[in-house]
Amino acid sequence: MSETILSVGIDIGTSTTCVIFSDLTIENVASSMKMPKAKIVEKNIRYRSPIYFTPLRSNTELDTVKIASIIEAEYRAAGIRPADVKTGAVIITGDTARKENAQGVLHDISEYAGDFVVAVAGPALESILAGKGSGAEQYSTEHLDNVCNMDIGGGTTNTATFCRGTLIDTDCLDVGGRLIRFRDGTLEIAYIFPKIQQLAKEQGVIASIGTTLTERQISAITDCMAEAVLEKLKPAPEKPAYFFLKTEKKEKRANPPIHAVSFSGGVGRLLYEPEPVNPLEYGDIGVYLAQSIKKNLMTRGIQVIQPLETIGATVIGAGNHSVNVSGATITITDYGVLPIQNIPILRMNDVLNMTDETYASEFRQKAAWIQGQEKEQNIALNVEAGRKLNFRSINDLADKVVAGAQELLARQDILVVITREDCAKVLGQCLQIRLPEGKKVVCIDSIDVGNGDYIDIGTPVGIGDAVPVVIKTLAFSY
Amino acid sequence: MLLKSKLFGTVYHFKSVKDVLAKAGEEKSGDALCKIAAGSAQERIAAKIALGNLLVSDLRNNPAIPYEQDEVTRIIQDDLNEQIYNSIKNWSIQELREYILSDKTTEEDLKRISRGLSSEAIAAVCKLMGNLDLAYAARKIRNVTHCNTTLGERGILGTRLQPNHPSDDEDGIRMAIYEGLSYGIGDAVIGVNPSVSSVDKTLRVMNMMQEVKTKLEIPTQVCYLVHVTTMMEAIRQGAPTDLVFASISGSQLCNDTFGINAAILEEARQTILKGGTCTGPNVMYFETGQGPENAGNMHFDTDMVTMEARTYGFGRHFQPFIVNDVVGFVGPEVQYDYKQCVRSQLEDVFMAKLSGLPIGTDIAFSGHVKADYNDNDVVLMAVTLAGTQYWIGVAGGADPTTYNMESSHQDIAALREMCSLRVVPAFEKWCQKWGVMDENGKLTDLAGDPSIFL
Amino acid sequence: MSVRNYDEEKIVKAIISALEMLEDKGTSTVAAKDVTVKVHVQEAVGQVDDVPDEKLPDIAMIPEDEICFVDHLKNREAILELKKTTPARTLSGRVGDREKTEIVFRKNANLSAMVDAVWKPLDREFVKKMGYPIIKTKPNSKDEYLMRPDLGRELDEENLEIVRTKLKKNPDVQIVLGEGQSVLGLETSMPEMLPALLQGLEANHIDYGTPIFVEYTRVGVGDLIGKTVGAKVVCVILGERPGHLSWRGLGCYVTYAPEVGILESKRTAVTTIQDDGGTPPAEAGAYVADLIKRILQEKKSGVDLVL
Repeated sequence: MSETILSVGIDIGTSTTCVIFSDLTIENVASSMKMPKAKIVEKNIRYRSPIYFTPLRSNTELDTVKIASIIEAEYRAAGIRPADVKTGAVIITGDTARKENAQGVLHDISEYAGDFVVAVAGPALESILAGKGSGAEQYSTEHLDNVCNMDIGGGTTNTATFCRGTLIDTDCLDVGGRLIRFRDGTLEIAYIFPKIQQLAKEQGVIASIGTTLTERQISAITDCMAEAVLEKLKPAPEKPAYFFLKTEKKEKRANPPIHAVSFSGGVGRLLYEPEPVNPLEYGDIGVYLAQSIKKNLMTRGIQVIQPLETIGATVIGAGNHSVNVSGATITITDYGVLPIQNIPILRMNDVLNMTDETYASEFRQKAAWIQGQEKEQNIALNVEAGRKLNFRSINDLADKVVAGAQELLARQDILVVITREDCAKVLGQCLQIRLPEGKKVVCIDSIDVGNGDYIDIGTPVGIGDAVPVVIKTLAFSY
Repeated sequence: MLLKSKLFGTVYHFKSVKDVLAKAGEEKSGDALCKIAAGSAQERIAAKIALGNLLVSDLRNNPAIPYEQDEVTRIIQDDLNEQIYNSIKNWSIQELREYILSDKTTEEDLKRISRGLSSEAIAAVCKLMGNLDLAYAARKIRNVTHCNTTLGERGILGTRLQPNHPSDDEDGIRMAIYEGLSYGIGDAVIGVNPSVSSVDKTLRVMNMMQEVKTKLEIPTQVCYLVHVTTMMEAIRQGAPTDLVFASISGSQLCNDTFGINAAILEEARQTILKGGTCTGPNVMYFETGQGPENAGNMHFDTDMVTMEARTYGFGRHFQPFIVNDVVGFVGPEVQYDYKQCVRSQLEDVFMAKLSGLPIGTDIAFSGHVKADYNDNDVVLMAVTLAGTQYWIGVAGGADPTTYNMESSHQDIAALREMCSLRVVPAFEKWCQKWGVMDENGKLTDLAGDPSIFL
Repeated sequence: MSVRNYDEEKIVKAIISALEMLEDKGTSTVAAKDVTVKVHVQEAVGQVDDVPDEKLPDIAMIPEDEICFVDHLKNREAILELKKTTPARTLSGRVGDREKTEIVFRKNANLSAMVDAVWKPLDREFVKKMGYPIIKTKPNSKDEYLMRPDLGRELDEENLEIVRTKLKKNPDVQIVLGEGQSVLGLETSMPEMLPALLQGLEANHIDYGTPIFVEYTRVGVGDLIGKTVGAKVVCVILGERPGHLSWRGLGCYVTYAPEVGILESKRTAVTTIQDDGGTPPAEAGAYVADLIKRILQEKKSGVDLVL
C-alpha cells in the first residue's frame, strides 16, 4: 500500500530563485498483519523551473510582486494548482534572508504555495537542506565516510557534514559570489558587503562603492575568503578570517573529521566547470572566488566529490527533504486542528527520573524562555521518558505531562506531545483520559526534535494515521 | 485388484486404493489429524503388503481426486507417455520398487519409466521404501535445468541464498546477500521471501538485486518470491526478474487458496519468457512441501505423501528451474517431530526426482516442532546423501522473517566438504575470482568477509 | 575478537583467581566446569569477588548488531554499519567449515527460549490473578493441543456451560485470552497489552462484557464463545508461535459477527506484539481498542475492512 503526495520546494536565494515539484511516495513498510508503519520510500522530481535572478527592489528590499509572479507562472507552467500541493517548503536563503521584508515575502509565498507548505529560514536549516539536496547525505550513507557539503551561493556559504547519513555539524560563513558586485562590464564596485570590505582592508585593499579594483586585488580578497571557507576542513580551525566570517557561534570548537567534500550552490557549481571565458559574466566575484577555492583545494589533498546537484541543491532539499512522516499509530482526537504550524518545541528529557517538583519547575522555566514575550504562543512538548516504556510508565508519563501543562492548558485547547519512541497511541489515550472535556490531544511519535526547533504538522497522508511533519531546526546543537 | 491382506492371521480390509495408500504411510501427525492413518503398527504393515500387490495401472486408474473434478489430476493423467505407461502398467508396486533399486537399472531407465508413472504410483512405491532405500534410489537421478546457469549436475550441491528481512529493507537484504556470497552461497538462486508484497516493493527489491548481480558480475539467478500475479504485474512494469515463484499443491482446491491454477502459471511462464531477464528455458521456481492440503482440510481423504507426489506431477508440467521442498515449517499438526520430518524430506526428494523435477530442499523447523539443531544436522547429512540438488543458506541458521531454524552457510560448506560436492562451475569460478574459494572449491581465509563486496 | 559489551579480561582474571584459590586449598585438578560453578557461588565462598552477578557476561543478550566474529575484515567500519540494517545473524565467522562456539551458544540459546515458551507449564496462579473465568478447549495435553488444532477450537459441555452462565450477554466485544503457543508471550506481554486495551475500550464507551481465559486456545474457539454470548465482535489475544528471534509475542485476532466456521479472511489480525523488534504491547493495546471501535462502526472485519 502506498500513497503519493505532491511536494513543492521554493528557494529564494541571494542571487537566484527556483521552484521544483516532487512526488513523494509514502509506503506502509510493515508486513501484513502488523500495525502500519509509514516511510517515504521514493522521491521523484516532477518539474523544475528555470533559474531566475531574484528580483530586488533595492539593495535592502525584495521585490514582492515580481517574486510572486514568478512563482505563480511556474505553478501554471507545471500545470499544478496550489490546492494539489500537499506539502513542501519555501526557504529564503543567504543574504536575502537579511532583507527588510524577507519575513513578509516568506509568509505570503507559503500561504499561496499550498495548504501545508511551510516557511523556513535560518542558516542551519539552509545548510541541512542543501546538504541533503546535493546528495552528500546519501553519499555518506552509501560510501560510509564523513562527507561535508559546502553550498556556496551568492551571499553565504552553508556547510553540512554527514556521518553515514546522520547530520553531525552545520556551519555558515559570509562567503558568496555576490558580496561584491560590479558595474556592467567593469571592475568598479557597485555593492560590497560590509564584512568583506573590512576583510579587504585587512589585506591592504581599500574597497568601497565606486572603487575600481584590479584583478590582483580581487584575487587577494577571494583567496582570503577561500582560505576561511576551507578552514572548515581542519579539525581545529585557527585562521582569524574563518572566525570573522562565521555568521554565528564565535566560540572555538573542533570540527568533525571530514573525508570528502562536495560543493553546491551557484559558486560551488563553477568548481566543476571549465573556467568561463569572461570572468565578469555574472558581474560579481563568483568566478574569482571559485578559482581561489580550486587553487586552495589543490594544496590540501582532500577528496573532492561531485554532488548530484549543485545549483539546485537547496531547492531540492526544500522540496524533497524537508518533510518527515510520523509513526502510523498516533493520537489525534480532532483532525480539525490540523495543520498545526510553526510551534516551538519544549523538550523534557529523562522525565520519569524526575520528581514532580523538578519537572514542574524545569517545565515552567523552559516555557517562559520559549514563549518570551508571546504568552499566547502554543508549545509542543517533546518528552523522553529516560527508561523503558511499559503501560505503567506511560501512565506515569501522562500524569507528569498533564500536571506540568496545567498553566499551558489554561490558555490553549490543544496539547501537542511528541516522542521518539513508538508509544503515541497509548500515551495519547492516557493523556486524553486525564484532560477535561473539550481539550484536544495531538500525540505523535517516531519524530526526533530538540529544544528550540519549530514544528509543523500536516493532515494524514493515508498510511494508518501517519501525518507529515516538518521540523525547522534553528540551531544545530551537539 | 485386491484391497485386503493378511498379517499374523488377521485379515485387514481397505476401503479404496487411497485408503491403502494412506494406511501404508509411515506415521505422520498430519494423516492422523485427518483421521486416515493406520490404526495400529500392524495395520500399517498390512497396508504396505496390500499396496505392494497393486499394479501400476490400479494406481493410475484410481486417482486421489476424480479426473473430472480436479485440474491437478487432469494434468497428471494427460501428461503421461502412453507407450511407456503401457510397458509398465502391469508391474506390481513391489516389482516397481525392486526395478528402481536394482543395480542393473540406470539413470536413463528411471527417467524413462518416470514418464509413465502417475503421481499415485510414485507415492505408492515411496511407501514401500525405507529411509535408506529412498536415499539410495534418489541418488541415482539428477535432473539438470538451465536458467542463466546450469543447475543439478552430478557432483554439484547448489544453494539458494535466502537473505530475508522483516520489512524487506533493501540495505538489510543486501547485507545478507554479501554475507552469503562470501561463503560461496547463492549459486542456485538468490531468493527473498517477501515481508511486504506490493508491486512497488517488488520493483525496488528486484532492481537492487539485479544491480548487485550486475555490479559484482555474479553468474546466478535472482528472484523475489512474491505471488505470481504480483510478479507478472511487476514484470510488466519493468521488474528485472530471472524467475517467477509460486507455491503449488496437490489439489485444485488447495491451489485455489494459493491463488494459482494451470492457466495462471502458464501465463506467468509466457510473461517471464518474454519480459524476464533470464535465458531459460527453465524459468519457474516452485515451492512445495507435505502438509498444507491436510492441515487445511483440502485433502479428499488422501494422505500427505500422495498429495505431495501429485504436487510434483502438477509442477513438472511447467518445466521449473527449481523446486523447493520445505519441511518442518507447518508445525506439529503435520509433522510432529524430527523423525517425521526427515522421513518426509527423504520421501520428497525421491518422489520429486522420480517425477523428473530439479528438487532442492529446505529443512525449516518451526519452534513448536519437537526438533533442535542436532536434528537439523542429521536431516542435512541424510538428505545430502540422498542427492538433493541444493540447500537453503541462511545467515547464522536463523531466518529473521520466518523465524525458523535453517541451514547455515557454514552447514553448507561442511556438507560440500564432507561429501566432495562442488559449487555450480560458473559460480565457483566467480568465487575464485573474488578469492573466497580455492581451486579445489574449498573456502579460503577470505571467506566469511562480506565487506569485500562493498 | 570483536565488539563486545562485556569485559573479557575481567572474566579471565576472575577465573584465574578462582583457579588459584582452589589450588591453594589443595583441590588442584579441577575441571573447567567446576570452576564456573565456583564462580557462580563466589559469595558463599566469600573470597572471589571479581565477578558480581550483574557483571557476568550474558552471551544471549548481546544485541545482534554488536556481534562480529570475523577476525579480518577488509572494510570493518563500513560492513558493521551495513550490518545494522538487518536482524539477520551476519558476520558470524567460521572455524574450518563450522560455526564459532559463541554462535552455537547464541543460536541454541534462542532455540531454548523458544522451546520453553511452548512447553513451559501454564502458571495457574498468574492466570487466576487476572480475575476472569477460566475454561479449556478439548485437548488434554500440550501435545494433543499442538497436533490437533481442530480440538483447540472446541469446548466440551462443562466448559461451554461456564461460557453460557458466567459471561455477560450481548457485549459489544467479547475478549478471549489464552496462552496459545507461547506461555512466555502470555506472561510477558499480556500484562502490558490488556490494560491498555481495556482503558481504550472504556474511553470509547465500548462494552467489553466479561473477558475469559481459555487454556489450549486456538483462534477459532473465539467464534464459538462470541456467538454463544451474542457478542458483536470477538477479540482473541493469545501467545504467538515462537520463532528464533521472538518468543514473547502475542497475536490478536478481531472478528466481526463471529460464528463457528467463519472464514479466516474475515479476521483482522495484529501479530508480533512484543518488545524487542515487534509492536510494543501497550501501544498495540491502544491500537486494538481503536481498531475494535472502527470494526463496530463499519460492521466488518478482515479483508472487507480497509485499514
